[in-house]
Amino acid sequence: MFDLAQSRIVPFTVSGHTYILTLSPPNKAQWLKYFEAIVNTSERIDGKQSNVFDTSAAKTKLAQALLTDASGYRTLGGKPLQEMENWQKLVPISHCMTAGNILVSVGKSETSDDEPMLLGTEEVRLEALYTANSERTSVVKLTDLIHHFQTPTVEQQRRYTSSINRSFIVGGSRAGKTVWQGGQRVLIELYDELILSVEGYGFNGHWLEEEPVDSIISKMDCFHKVAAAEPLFSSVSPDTQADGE
Amino acid sequence: MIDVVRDTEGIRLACIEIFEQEFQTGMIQRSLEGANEQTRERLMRSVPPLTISPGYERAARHLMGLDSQREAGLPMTGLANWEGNGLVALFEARLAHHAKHPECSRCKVRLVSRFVPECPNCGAKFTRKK
Repeated sequence: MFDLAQSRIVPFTVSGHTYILTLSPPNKAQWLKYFEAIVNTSERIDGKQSNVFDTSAAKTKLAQALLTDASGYRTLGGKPLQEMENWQKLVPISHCMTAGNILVSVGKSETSDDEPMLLGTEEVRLEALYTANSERTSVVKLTDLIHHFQTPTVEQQRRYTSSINRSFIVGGSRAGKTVWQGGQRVLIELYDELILSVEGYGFNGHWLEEEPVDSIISKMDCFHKVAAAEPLFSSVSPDTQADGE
Repeated sequence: MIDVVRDTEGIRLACIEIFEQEFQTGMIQRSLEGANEQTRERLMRSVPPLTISPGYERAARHLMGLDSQREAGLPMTGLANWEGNGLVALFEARLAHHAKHPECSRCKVRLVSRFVPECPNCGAKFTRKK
């Protein structure tokens, strides 16, 4: 079960020492802040488009905001970590990024569906890194996190494409840099409109699949919402065969 | 900072630039029949690159996609305000492009300008009224 109410425990080893970071589950506002902090720009240099996509600063900030505990570190005078002012800022950026990577390690699962798709509904299967195992030696990867949606309408598809095509220009309409807005906010809205049920998720030990849709909407992690809703609006490659095969 | 979707004039100019690039590409492709790979590559490189910022290009291509849906008969409900204004800008850009590159009266291929004496595609000759 991917318990959405549970803190995320991230163990990792650096130079022979094991550190463990504990993060509270991110809420919607924190995820929106993360999406806004992603650097996603394009510019044309000598006729060629150059793109920059960087999530490292966004991930670091998110992890720092969520840190509730850290262990394995030494402190000056052996002072307890929680008594130090702004201790979250003292955790190395590389460690925060490691923790941030765990939060965003959510993607479409490649496992096959048990049955063919039921028309009128769509199923998206995700896999994600969750939290440390019981020995606190590694992070558990959960597969079979299933989201059942109703099929989006053409209008909803348009809303999505409209959102991913929005941008701001800094420094003039020709030589300027395009700052892409990203469609995550709209994907979250669309998830809330389309979700029917989920499998594999829980909240405080109770399976979410037994709860009404409103409860799923309010409790589901927004990064999972984005990861689950995005495949609804992207095309699937057809099976092809070279001529004469 | 310019919000691309509020800059309708910028979107119109982006549409014109994309139409022009597609026109140049089409013209070169038509002249490439029988050309070897090297010539093909050299000529395709001569197509002028877009100069508009990528944000304008993406917005313009999004509007072109919407316009194709409209032409295919899909209802245009639920459009954002900028998309409505953008479709008007696209329409104006297309008119400007068509005025700059009129069709050959015989084969309907668009010409470099209204002053060309002959269609490079079908060979039709044009005489200007005096």
